[in-house]
Amino acid sequence: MKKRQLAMVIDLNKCIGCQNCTVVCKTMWTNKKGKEYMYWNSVETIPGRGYPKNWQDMGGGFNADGSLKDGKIPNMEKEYGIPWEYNHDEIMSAKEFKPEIKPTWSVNWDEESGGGEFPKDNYFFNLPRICNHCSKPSCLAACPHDAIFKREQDGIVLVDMDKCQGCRYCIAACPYKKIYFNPMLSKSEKCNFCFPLIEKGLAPMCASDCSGRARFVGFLDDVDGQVFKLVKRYRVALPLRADFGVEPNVYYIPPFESPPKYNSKNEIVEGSDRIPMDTLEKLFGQEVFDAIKTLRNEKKDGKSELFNLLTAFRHEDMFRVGVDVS
Amino acid sequence: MNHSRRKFLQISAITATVLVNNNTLFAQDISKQNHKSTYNSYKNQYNYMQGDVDKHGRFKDYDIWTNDGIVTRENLNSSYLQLSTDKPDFRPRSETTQSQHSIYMYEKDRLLYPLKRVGNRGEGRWERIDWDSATMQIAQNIWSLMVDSDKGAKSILVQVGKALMGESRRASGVRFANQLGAVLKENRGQNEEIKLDELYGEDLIVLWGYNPMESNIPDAHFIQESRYRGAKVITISPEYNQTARCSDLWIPIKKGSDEILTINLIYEILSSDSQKVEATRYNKSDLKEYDSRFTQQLTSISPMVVKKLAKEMLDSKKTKIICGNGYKSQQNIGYLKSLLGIDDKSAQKDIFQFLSDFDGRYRARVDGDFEQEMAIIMASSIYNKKPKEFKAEFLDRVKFIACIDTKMSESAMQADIVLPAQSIYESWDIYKSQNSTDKLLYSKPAVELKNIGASKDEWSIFAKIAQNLEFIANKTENLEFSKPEDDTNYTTSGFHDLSIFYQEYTNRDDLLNPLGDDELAYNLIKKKMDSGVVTADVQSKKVSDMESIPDLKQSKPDFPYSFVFKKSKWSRGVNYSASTTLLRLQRGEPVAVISVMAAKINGIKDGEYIRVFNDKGEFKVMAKVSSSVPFDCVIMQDGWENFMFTQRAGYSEILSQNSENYVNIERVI
Repeated sequence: MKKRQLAMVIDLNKCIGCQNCTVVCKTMWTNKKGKEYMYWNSVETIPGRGYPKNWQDMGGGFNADGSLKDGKIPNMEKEYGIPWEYNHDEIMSAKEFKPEIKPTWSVNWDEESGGGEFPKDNYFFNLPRICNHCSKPSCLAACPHDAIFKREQDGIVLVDMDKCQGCRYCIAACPYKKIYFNPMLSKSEKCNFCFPLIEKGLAPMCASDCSGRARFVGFLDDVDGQVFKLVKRYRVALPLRADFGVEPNVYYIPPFESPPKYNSKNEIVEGSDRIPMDTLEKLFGQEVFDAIKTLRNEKKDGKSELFNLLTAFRHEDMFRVGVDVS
Repeated sequence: MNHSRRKFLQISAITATVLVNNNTLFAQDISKQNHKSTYNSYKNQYNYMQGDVDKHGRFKDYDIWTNDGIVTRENLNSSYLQLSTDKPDFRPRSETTQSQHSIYMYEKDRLLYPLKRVGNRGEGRWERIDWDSATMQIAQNIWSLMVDSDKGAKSILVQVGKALMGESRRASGVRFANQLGAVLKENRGQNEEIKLDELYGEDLIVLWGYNPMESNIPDAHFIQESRYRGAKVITISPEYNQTARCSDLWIPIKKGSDEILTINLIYEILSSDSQKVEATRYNKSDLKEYDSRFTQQLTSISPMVVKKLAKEMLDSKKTKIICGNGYKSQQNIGYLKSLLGIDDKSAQKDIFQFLSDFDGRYRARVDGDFEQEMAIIMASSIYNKKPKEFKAEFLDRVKFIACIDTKMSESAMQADIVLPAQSIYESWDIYKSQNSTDKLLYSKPAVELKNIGASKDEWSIFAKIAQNLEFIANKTENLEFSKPEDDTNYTTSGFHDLSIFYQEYTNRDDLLNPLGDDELAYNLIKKKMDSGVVTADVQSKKVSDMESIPDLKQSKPDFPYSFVFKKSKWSRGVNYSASTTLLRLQRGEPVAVISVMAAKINGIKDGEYIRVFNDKGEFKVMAKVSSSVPFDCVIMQDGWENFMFTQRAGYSEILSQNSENYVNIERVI
């Protein structure tokens, strides 16, 4: 069987932070005891601390020499936030409706908070995240029980529930912290890229239900597909934190048009960008400069194939999951 | 443990490197592997959720999956014809709050049985009663008022909320109010006729006090796609929200100064020599004090920005200006549009009116100042965003309140009788899509769906009240009073015949029989719409005159921060404000968003609690410190119920009857 890799491209210009992807994933896969805190899909605000809190500083992934980089298992209370429950049944008795524990952190804590100085150069944008189904998955490399495997036919990374012993090395090793420990089962769980849907030729729910029409799904070797064109041909879709060394397979179209800044007299600073380039460079590497240049040049063109592609006139054009190019 | 793990990782790293280099990281032939448990668990989960496909229900663009009579989830399955190949289609049309209804509908705040208050109002002491008893008490109250010549129909309020209901369910309450001639109040959205897909093709899109990226999520994609086509998007809003972020220019206007900017723009446009400007009765000298150099202090917008905005409007070939709820006065903005020759269409008619009317025979009171003594509140958050005095006065005046709702809301909490309604996945309803397709959508309960408690749909509930009212009217001792007189404005015969009330209420055999086949009703309505019998009168508005010009002298408020409501994307009114799923996507409790500078000045850190207060009262809330809000605003989403705040004291405490509210803030130690 030919080894193939499914990938997702997320256009950050079209993501409106509505979290519909988060909710459809939650209702399908993680609405169960032991999974309350799991968000296989989450949408963060940048700048922000993310989920788990400060995940970008928790290590994991590979060093330049190919060795596994030490990583940290996030703390439930401080970094995930204990998922609070409510006293719904007491509302009718005129009690205050409130969480049973004081909320300290959660998946969308920094929503729209942003950075910069209002109204001069404040900014924010959203960053949706799922498991990157990496080509070099450090979770797989770290598992002492061979419980994590990568499928040949589509590159989806899954946890073998029979073999997983719940040691959590995979969580420490994942630099994106997108693998979670299920305390009810004592096993690790993670995004399965909706493989039961993939096997029916359908896109994952977070993509097919994306209100902003921001997510494309397809095989990286499908030269006629949008994913191939965006990643390989136009090179405007970039991996997140490629420096982690795991070769992630979720790619992002960086935000390339933000409203201009204001100066101290509240006058428009023509040609300025609210989103600092160093923020984008940290997330997407140096390639982001060329990607943004390409996006801006193509947009000026007015009849760009790239922008027709990003617009996606027909919703079904965003997904090429069942294509066999062998 | 930590040490051994590190050691392990070091060892396993070497193994991993070897594996990666040999390209054997991929699993071998999947069929030879034994990963059955993984495959089975997720596939079983998927299959369980999907349940029996033949029994699925439907809600608008979603299939409602059920298993063994229980709703397991909503699965988006929309089909829309692409109106044009060079315009993006309408799919997927998903919405965050909708996507979790399957969880929330089984939450423990659901009303399961009719309840009668046994303590004081709002005290939370209830007695479970049966449907006959509950609806009979309501009918008895209606009867007593209707036959009292001093009170009559004008003393009965029927308040119909928009909630999540469609046109059919809403019509049940409206029809009841019409038949009685009662006072009818409806909460209908102001922006229902904004069709975002129509923006595609425009050159300039101005979104003024309108945040569709959070308030109209299913169609918001058309805005970014318009930008991809080359349109320029300008957002005018006090705060930097999702829509501002997705704009080519964001104009941070000072809260409440929209009208000043409007006239400022009119002045700039009149000052230009553009051929585009249509003949007008005003000239720039009439408005000279609205020169942006003089108004900057009020709007916070520099003259350079106003001139740029005016120029953009004048240069653009195709412009759309959309004003949301954040923009209060429509007259002057209408004048600005007319000046620029912008076609401003509006639909003038409730196209579903025929569902609830009686061909003019009966009509509810919708205007006028009436003093009600009884209220039937149907899915309406009557006290939300109102000053506490409103609630106190209402509860003092209205002697009997019946509330029809799906959950124990603030409205239900204050009622005398509470009736449990079915939620949106549990009964038939009809909806019209809010886009150019004008598609008729419906909801249909799943086959063999288990009822939640004793809840009923609103048509059945009102029919039951009607039945009891008719029963009372036909009692021998009551017959002579059963035709209470009323003004012929509200009943063409000059009286409401209560002895045939149920018969008349349910007599809709041509279109909609609440006790009959709703699928048949849907098909009949669809046929009417398809044949053009039911259409809105779309009219072009031309505004030739301005409203009184606002006074530029602004009085200095007593408190430093303007208290601003933001339409909640998380709760759709108050409907989902208690959803655990959605609360976990926020901060779990009400938050007030304050600026970085306000936080610094007041010594407040993100996540700490603050007192929000003014001379009317105060409430306590978590502070969220944000770079996206102006210094002089405290912003809160609008869906919080009072009982979600400490000591059940919410933002009603500080609101006044005026539309502008000012507050101060202080850290709670």
